[in-house]
Amino acid sequence: MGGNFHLNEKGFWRFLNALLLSCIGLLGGGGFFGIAAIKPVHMLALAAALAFFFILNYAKLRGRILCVFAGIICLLGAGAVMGIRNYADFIHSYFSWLFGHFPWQEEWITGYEALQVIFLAGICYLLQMLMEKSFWVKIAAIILLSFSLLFCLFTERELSHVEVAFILCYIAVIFVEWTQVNWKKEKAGGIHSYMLWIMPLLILYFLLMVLMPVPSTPYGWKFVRNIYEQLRESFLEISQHIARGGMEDYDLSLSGFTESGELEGNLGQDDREIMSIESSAPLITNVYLTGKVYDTFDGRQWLQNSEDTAKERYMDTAETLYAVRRYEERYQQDYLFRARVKINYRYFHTSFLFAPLKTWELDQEGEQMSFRELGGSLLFEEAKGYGTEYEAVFYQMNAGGVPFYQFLQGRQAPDEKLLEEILRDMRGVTGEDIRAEDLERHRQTVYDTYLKEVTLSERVRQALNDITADAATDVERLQAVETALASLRYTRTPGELPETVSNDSEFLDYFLFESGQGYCNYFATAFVLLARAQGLPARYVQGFCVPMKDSKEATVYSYMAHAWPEVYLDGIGWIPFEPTPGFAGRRYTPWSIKGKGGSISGEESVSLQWPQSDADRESRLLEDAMEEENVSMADSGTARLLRVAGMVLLSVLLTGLLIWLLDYKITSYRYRKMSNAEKLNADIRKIMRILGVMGLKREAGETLEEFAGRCEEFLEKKDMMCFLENFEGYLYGNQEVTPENIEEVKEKQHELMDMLWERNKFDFFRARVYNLY
Amino acid sequence: MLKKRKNKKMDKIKMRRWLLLYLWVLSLAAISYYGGAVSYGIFFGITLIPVVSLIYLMIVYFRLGIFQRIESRNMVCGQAMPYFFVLQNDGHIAFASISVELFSSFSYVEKLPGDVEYELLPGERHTFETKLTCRYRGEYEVGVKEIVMTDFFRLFRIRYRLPSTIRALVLPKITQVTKLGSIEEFTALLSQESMRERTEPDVAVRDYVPGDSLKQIHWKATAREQKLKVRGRTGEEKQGISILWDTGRRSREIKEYLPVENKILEIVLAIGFFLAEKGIGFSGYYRQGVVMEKHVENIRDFDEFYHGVSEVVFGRDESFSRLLLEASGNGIVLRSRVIFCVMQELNEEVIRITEEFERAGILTVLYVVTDENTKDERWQGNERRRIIAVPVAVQLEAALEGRL
Repeated sequence: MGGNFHLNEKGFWRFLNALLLSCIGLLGGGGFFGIAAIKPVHMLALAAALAFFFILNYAKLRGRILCVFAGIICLLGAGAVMGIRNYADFIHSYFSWLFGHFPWQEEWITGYEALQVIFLAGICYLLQMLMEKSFWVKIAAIILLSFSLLFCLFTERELSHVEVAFILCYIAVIFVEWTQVNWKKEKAGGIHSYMLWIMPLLILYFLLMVLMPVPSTPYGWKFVRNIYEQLRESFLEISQHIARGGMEDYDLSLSGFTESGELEGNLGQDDREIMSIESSAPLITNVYLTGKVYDTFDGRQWLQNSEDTAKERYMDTAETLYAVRRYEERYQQDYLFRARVKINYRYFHTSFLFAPLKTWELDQEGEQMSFRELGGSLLFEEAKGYGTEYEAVFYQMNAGGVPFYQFLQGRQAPDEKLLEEILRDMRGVTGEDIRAEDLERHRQTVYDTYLKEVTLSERVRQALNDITADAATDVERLQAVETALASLRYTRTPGELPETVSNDSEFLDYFLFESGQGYCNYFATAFVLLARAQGLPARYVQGFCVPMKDSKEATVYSYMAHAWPEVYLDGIGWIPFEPTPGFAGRRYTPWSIKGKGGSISGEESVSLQWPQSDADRESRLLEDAMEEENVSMADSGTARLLRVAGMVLLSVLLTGLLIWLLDYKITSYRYRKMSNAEKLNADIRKIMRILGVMGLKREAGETLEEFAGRCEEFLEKKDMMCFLENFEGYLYGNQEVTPENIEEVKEKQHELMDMLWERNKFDFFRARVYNLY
Repeated sequence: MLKKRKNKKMDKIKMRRWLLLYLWVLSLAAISYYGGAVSYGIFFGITLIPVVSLIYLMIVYFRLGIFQRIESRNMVCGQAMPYFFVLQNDGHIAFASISVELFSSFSYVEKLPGDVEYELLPGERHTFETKLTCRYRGEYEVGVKEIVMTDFFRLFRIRYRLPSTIRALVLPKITQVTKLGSIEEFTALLSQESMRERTEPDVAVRDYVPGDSLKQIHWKATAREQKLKVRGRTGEEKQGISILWDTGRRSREIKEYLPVENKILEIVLAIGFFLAEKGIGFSGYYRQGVVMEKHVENIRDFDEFYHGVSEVVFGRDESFSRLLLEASGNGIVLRSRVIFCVMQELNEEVIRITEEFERAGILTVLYVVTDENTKDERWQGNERRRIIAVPVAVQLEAALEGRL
């Protein structure tokens, strides 16, 4: 070899390999050798032992004698330091398998470990010598190491990062050595010289591997998922945008939640994934997410006329909390139970911020959330879509339980100190400066906004009087109305409202006495109007009803969209009711309170019926069917996904086909309009593609002439590529391209395709597809 | 065969790449399902292999020393020139595989197999002292064209063109022939020519040939015979030999035109040398935009003629028929006893003009450098007009001496 490399390459190579093997053995099998944790002293012992073997193996006689002498001196020195007796005991205990039982002493553990390391080094050195005798032993070793890695991978056994790096580096070393052995070339030196001078790169490889991070969790492919989700959202966005004619909150229409507040028409069927909700602990009630709040009804449609921008939601929570704590502060959790949920928007796009009633706090990424209120609805500053995430702290209400209704009917003396304490807490959490005066103002606003005058027809008034005849309090009256409405028939297809219905009175007349059926919007509307007719402020709310009781997470689908009424009880705040048949079971899920029993949920209440309605049974059947349908919809997620995937695939295929057809037409048209030179260029490109399919590609630096020669040799046909002469003439000179030139190229193209057909049919069709236009 | 071997090597490299890609995809799957040192270690272990390979190739690129030298850039076609070539490892790691690609179209290097991969340890150098021979006259690149390097994992092969190549200026070769087989009675002709009897011009007339000067027209004879007759100065006509050669370029591809042009000049030089060596004066005519003339009286003038021929530039606008017309038009060539025409295409116009020469009593020899089929009727000559096809690859001595 060149240079002045005088080192015994073979010996040095053996030393390095033995070192690598020893490191693998020490790191991977240290426990087996009784070495609990690798310390610097172990590495030192390893290096010293290997050096000892190396010198014994390769030094001249004098060097060997000196080496042995040094070893003996070390042993004697150790004996002198430890004392003869201790030394004998140490040796005795180390070789206990030979001299009989003599347990290892704790204070000599480092010594034992050092001896074990030396033993390991000896084994590895011998193993390396064996490997040099036959390459197959090396191959067997790397196969064994590879399988060990795979075993550890699949059984999730822990290996240290450095250990894995050593193993992979050793595999790489053997691979390079094997490559070198089988490489036919003008070799300069022996295999060991070569491997030694390649070693710096392999060390670099090892160091890079050690520097790479090794997370303990599988890779999440977050960026890929994000790209996928973004693409999916974009696709849905575009498709809905086209379908809905470019409305801003276009996805809302498919979310089940509607911004228009109209009552007309039948409900569509859709099961899109809208949101996901997560909670750190299982919830004890279902979650009702409030979206839009309406105050005015014109007989056919709900409107939001209020432009109140006060933080009404927080004030309402504060008022309810104030009421509960005055009622029974010590047992506040019997009535209100605090919970935190994380809401994540999926496939819809809206400016509405969905949050439960009695929300205490809203934050996003650990900070207070920025939003605005308008007439009771919470709104983002701008419309949000996929990936929007925020957390809501809210109070679950023990609605449906007797104690809760007792609380609702109770009236407590004011406690300004308590109120101030609650408002101070709220200020600390929300940053909103809400004062007692604001609460007063809020009450007044509620009455002004949500207690609009309702004119009832005589028969409605009579019916209302009938069903509330036995009720003594406002709450009882509301319950009576709720129960009575729940006895009507639920249907998703109530048909269009007659043209004659133009105000709230006519709506009630029609709904209660003529139609007697509808979906949640109808029931909620009727309830709100009847509540207002009794002098109670009430509002119509649209949002999502999410069955999440006893679970920590749920997906909100579009079919969970719902409308419900809320009544403002003076001094308590907004309380939701559930007049829609079949939904009471979801709304009222009271948790048990020690010593305070009973449930007054809709199903168990006294049934009061509207005079003409005997459809209760039918309604219940429908309700059950609807429940089943919803469950089956939730369960059929996979089928839905497949359907969506199928539709997407079909759309992509169709779009691709259309684009291809269009492109084909345009390209054909452009070809016809091309000059001769451009046509020649285009045809030559086609031929190049055909040749590419045949595996003939022009290499870097290859002239056209060289390429043509290679092609002709490959195709075994002289003059096959003669058209390139004209092409070169055109490319490098001023030669004009004639129609004959183009014709010639086309002929060659046909010839090539014929040859391709004979050689490989699949390639022929591939080339046809490539050259279709 | 060489290409097949190269393809086989590339197949092996490709196979390794595919294997690596396959393992990499598997490692991706592994990190998708398992965390920890093993899965990520395998993933990075596989990912880093090409990275290290490319780092290695970069080092080789910057630390490979390459040097080539040729004794003289000015060469003569077919003459072997000492050529010296060195590959040296200036780095501190082993270079697994280096091979060279030569400019092989117009030149060849002796004892330097192009398909050998060389391994170079640090400080090592491979020296090649060999000879380089150029095939054709002209100016072109010779020696090592490209360096091909392969990494030690045998995964990547990088090929790059040597930034400093050798550009050789190659002069045409002079082929010595013992006879010109095209003219059987050439000896007799030579004896006549050697006598150099310069007769006075007589009044003999001959038919008008296109290109004859109007001053030469013999009006009385013309009136008598009712066709144009010119004064023929027989003594002057018969005393010279002319060589006319084609300087037109018929192709854009250097590989095509260079051998043909080279052959034309070799024929011209061979005929010229043959004549000059025997002390026979001749004139050479060729076009370089205009008709050029080089006169050689004897061997002493030949060197100038040789350099003149070497510097001839072939052009796409030059036409041999035009040369014939112009040269005969001013009456120069018509004074010749023998005309040698060296061309690359025998077309109808050339045949027609040379028939006129024949009628004027001039012995015409047409050398056509071509690989065309010469069975055609137009290739048939006669006693006074010989047509000889000279294939590009044929040995020139054989072609000129009539041994084909």
